[in-house]
Amino acid sequence: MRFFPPKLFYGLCFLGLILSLGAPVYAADAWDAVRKTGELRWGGDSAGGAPYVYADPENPKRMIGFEVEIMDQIARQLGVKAVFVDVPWDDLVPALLRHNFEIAFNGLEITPGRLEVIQFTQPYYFFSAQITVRKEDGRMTGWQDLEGKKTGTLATSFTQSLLEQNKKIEVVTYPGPVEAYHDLESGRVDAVLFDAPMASFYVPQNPRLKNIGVPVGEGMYGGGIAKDSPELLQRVNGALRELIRSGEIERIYRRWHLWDERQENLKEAASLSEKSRPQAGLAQYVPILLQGAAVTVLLSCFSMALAVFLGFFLCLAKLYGTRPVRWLANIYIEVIRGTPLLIQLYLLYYGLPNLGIQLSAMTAAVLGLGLNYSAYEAEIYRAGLLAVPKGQEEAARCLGMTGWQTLWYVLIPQAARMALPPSTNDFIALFKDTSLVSVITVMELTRAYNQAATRTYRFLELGLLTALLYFLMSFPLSLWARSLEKKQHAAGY
Amino acid sequence: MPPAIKIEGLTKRFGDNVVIERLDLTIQPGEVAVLQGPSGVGKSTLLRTLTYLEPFQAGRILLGELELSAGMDVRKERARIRAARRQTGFVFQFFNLFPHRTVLENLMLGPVQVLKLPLKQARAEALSLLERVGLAEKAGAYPAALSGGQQQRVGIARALAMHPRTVLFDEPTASLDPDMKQEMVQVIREFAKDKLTLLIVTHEPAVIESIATRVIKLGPRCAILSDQRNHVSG
Repeated sequence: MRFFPPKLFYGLCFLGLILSLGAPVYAADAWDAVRKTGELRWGGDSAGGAPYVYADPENPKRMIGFEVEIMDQIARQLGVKAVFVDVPWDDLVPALLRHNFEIAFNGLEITPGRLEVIQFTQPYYFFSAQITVRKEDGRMTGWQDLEGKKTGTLATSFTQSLLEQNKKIEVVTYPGPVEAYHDLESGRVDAVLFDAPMASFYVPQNPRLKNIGVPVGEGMYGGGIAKDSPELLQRVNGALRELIRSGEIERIYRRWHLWDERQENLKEAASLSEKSRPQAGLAQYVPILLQGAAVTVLLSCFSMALAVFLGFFLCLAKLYGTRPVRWLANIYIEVIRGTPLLIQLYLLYYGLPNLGIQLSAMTAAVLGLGLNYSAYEAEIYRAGLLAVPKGQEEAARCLGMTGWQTLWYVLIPQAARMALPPSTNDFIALFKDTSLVSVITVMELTRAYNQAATRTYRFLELGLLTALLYFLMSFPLSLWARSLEKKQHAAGY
Repeated sequence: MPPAIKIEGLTKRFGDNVVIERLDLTIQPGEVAVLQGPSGVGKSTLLRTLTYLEPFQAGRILLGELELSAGMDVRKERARIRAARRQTGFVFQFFNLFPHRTVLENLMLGPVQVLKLPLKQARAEALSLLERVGLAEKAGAYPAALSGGQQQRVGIARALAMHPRTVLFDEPTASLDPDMKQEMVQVIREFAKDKLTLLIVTHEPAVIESIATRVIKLGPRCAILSDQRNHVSG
């Protein structure tokens, strides 16, 4: 604690440095770059991206989709070449603000929240959302049936906010449509709500799913452009209007079976009027972060309990087991330690259903983390037991104790003392590794942060707040371990 | 009454290194026998084979009626080995006290867990043993807080708490300062009065002169060089 003030000082300096680096590096209109390079870079997510933009099944190097065709046409109008940049969908706007590309063009709904940070071209598609359920599920007929049901949707999308307006619907968010429809098929969710183009592309391919009810809600897709590039916006809008007027865009939509009467409005929609200022304050996301933090704590405790329990028996198997038992324990430990936790989580959650084993997201998360850390715990305990002097076991044996008694009353208490510091270390590491389970739809702290940040674009403030939450939870653990060590030290061994 | 210890044809090797070769030795109940000999002749190994801390290659050992033999199946005979250890106390050169337990708990662990004595009785017996070794006031202390001599006295008390018939001492004074050796000799003499059988590996002249009823000198491979009765003044 003596060193705290200087540390704080350096910390603040570092923070200042980061903040200053975050300031805009250049403010030139993106059109300048497009004109100079002859390339119009546009961002989208090709993973599960049909029919918008996705890899051609016949030639995976080539991107196809209705947005690919529209962008090619726009680029042609502007006399440049369209270049696709592949980014995760929920990173579209942040990547645009990082100047990874000049225009985000991938089913980006025009929302008040987004209009705060970027500008939109005129709309190029009017969409609604489509509910999908399992074919044999006769109970579900429409929007009203979603109440009390688990409903999957695209993270940070317009459909997510649509669902969240009804508090009785349990919303599960996914990075893309493929995972969501997969979980619907296996029964983890009861319904899925996606933009109609996705539903009309993916659902007919799957004989076990069906679309129900009339499409709900209504929104517009627009191209996202940075606010510092009014000239680019003007030129892209001009090109879009030309495509709409000439009927080129209708031809594209008809080819993709996406044309409906709603699209007649494209002609009238000139430019967007600024909507009323949105709510999107930071304060409303604090409860979401706190809820995520609670899930993180719960997840850590259950996983660690499992890791300690399994690790203990693994360690005994490796030390005292018969040859085949030792061998199995060794294989388990080496395989678990030698493969990424992320892959283990994917296998447990998305892989096991192929074998008919269905785990809830939380179960898969606890199991994944627990199994993974048990291998590390086992090795820590083994080192602890091996570090107890040989004379201790002999003294216990000479009193006529059995193997279990020797272990329990003499060896383990002494090994535990040696295993405590590395074990605490592991618990803190596990605590932070819980952020990985966000990939299997568990809404823990990191995922809560990600959602809050991608909606408000307040990455820095929310990021610092989230880091602070993690720290506030893990630091007491360190303090507790330290006091425990001191107590043992005071006892003189 | 059968002999306290009867060793027949005992052979112990570590790899090619023969440590004990065809040893025959009988110790009668109540004897206080000292084993002497240069270091490296296998005296400590001999004590360790007696409680089966070391398995051996040939021969057999009778502890009262219990037989330990070279060919026995250790897994099947676990209970027999434990019984042999229960009735045979062992005092280590380096004490081997349990560091995470208080002095009193060190003495009670065996009686409570192995002999299944009620806590109250085990505690009373442990306290009276501590009284006899002069450490009653250290009952609540952890071993790390004791001097070497005090630790060894706890080690002896821990062995005696199991009501053994025989106690084996492996150089009990070797790691102690000279002035502590004297108090150790007194403690051993105190317990020699209890008609226990004691087998002591030591070079300590005071032990040999004032306690031993028998002095056995061992040469290489535990060959018996001499075996003499010793008259002690009670």
